Amino acid sequence: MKTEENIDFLKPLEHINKVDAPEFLFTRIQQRIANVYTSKFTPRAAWSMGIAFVLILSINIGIVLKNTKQKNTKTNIAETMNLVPTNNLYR
Amino acid sequence: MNFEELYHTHKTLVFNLSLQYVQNIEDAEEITQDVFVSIHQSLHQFNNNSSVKTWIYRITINKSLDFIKAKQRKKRFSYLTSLFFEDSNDLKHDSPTFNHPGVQLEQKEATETIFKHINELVDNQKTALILSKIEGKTHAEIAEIMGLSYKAVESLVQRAKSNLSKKLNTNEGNKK
Repeated sequence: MKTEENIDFLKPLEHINKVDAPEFLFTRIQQRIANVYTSKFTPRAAWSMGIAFVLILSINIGIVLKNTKQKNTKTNIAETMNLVPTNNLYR
Repeated sequence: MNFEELYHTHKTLVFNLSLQYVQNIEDAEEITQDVFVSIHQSLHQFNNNSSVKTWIYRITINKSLDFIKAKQRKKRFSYLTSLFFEDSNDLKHDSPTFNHPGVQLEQKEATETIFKHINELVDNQKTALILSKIEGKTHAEIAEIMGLSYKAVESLVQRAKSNLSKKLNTNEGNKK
């Protein structure tokens, strides 16, 4: 009985008819395909450029920070040994 | 098979399947266009691992589910903007949700209620139920389309029916 009740409540779904797709749809699809191929600046291109830019920027910042750290290290060594860190012969 | 032949062979399948997910003509038209544009873009990648029909079923199901999620996000955003901007017309122009041309008039109310609860099911259960009860697919065919085992599909369909039954009984209880 319970199985029959379960099946019965879904019976309206069995009476749903198939309908035809509208005729104009193919024209619209062709237009969208044409737009996709004429668009030069796709979202994918934008994302790729953005990621490339962030990568280059990160590498540059990394190099600059590394150089700054090296300079500071040299200055620290010079000061510890009481050396003049510049080439000036006269103070 | 060229793209135009593919379209004419499968347009009814795609349009009707998307109708089962969104239950209105305008949205089904939108999804159908999305599906065929996607098919056009990925036709060269189709590697004959499954039949063309199965492949098209999968694309249609994915596009339909994506469309529903995007619509829900848009609704939530519209609701938020309407709280802050009195002039916002987004919610006012929301299209009618149930406009399924395949549903007979005498069955409309009952079918609308069932679809309301189908829409609340999780994606897998919803898909399994639609393919089983409306599209008339066997469990083996559904398993191939969804990339699941036969047993998994059986379980999904059973759980979907059980959840629907509970919701419908609760609905009837509330009406009384």
